[in-house]
Amino acid sequence: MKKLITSKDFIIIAAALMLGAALFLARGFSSQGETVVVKYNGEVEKTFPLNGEYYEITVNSVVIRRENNEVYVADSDCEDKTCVRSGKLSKKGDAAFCVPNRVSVEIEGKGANSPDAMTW
Amino acid sequence: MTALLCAAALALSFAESALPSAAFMLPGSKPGLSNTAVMFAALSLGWAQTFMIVAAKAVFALITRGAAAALMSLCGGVLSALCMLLLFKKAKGVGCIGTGVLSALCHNAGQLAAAAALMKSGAVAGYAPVLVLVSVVTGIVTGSVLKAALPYFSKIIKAKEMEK
Repeated sequence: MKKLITSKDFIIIAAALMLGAALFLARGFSSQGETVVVKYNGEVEKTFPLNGEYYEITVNSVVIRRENNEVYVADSDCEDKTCVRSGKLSKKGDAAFCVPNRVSVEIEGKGANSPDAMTW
Repeated sequence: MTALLCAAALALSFAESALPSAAFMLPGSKPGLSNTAVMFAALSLGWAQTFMIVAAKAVFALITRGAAAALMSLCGGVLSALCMLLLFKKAKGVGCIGTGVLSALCHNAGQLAAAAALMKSGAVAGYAPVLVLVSVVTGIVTGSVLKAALPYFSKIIKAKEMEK
C-alpha cells in the first residue's frame, strides 16, 4: 500500500461511474408516471392520480403535496428529512421514503400494480 | 485499541450529523467519514475488532436516531466491513481509494436492502442511481483520509504494543 491510488482503483472508479451513469440514463428515459401510491408500513394508504389540482395528504406526520402535476414531501417530523430532500417526483419509479415514519410515496406508470421500479 | 477506534468512529459520525446536511448533500447520502475508522480496523486489526466497531456504530445510531436507523446502519456496516476485509486481506493491488469506493457501494446497497425490508417496498431502488455516484465521491474521500491518517494510527498501535 505505497501509492495513494493504484491502477485497480482507477478501474473500480471507472466501473462504478459507468454503473451510476447507466442507472441515471435508465431513469432519464423512464416514462411519465400516472399514479401516486402512498404507503404506510408497507400497506397502501392512499392512491391518487399524478395529474390534478393542488392536493395535500398527511400520513403519520408526513405531509405529501401534489402541485403542478408533481408530487413531493413537503414536511415530516423525522430528523434526517431524506424524504423532503428527495425533491419532486413525476416519473415512473420515482420515490420518496421516510424510513423513521414508515411512509413511502411511489410513482407508478400504466398498470398501476406493476412492482417494477424501472423500465428499459 | 478497538475502544479508541470505536470512539473515533462515533466522534466522526456525530461530527458528520452536525454538518449542515441539507445545504450540499443529496437525499440519503452522508460523507461516511466514520468508515475510515472501520477501514483502518479492517486493514490493521482483525475481523472481530472491525465488526465490533460496526456494532458500536449501530448502537450509537439506535440511541441517537432510533431503531430504523440502527438496522440500516448495521446492514450497511456489516456489508461494507465484509467488503473491506476481503479486499484488504485477499485482493492484491487494490488501494485505499478502490476499497473506499467499493465498501461505500456495499454500505449503500446494505442500507437500501434494509430500507426495502423496513418499508416492504422494492421502490427504494429509485435512490440507487444517486447513491452509486455519491459512493464514488465519498469512497475517494474516505480512502484518501485513511491513507493520510494511516501513519499516525500506526504510530499509536506501536506505542500501545511497547507499553505491554
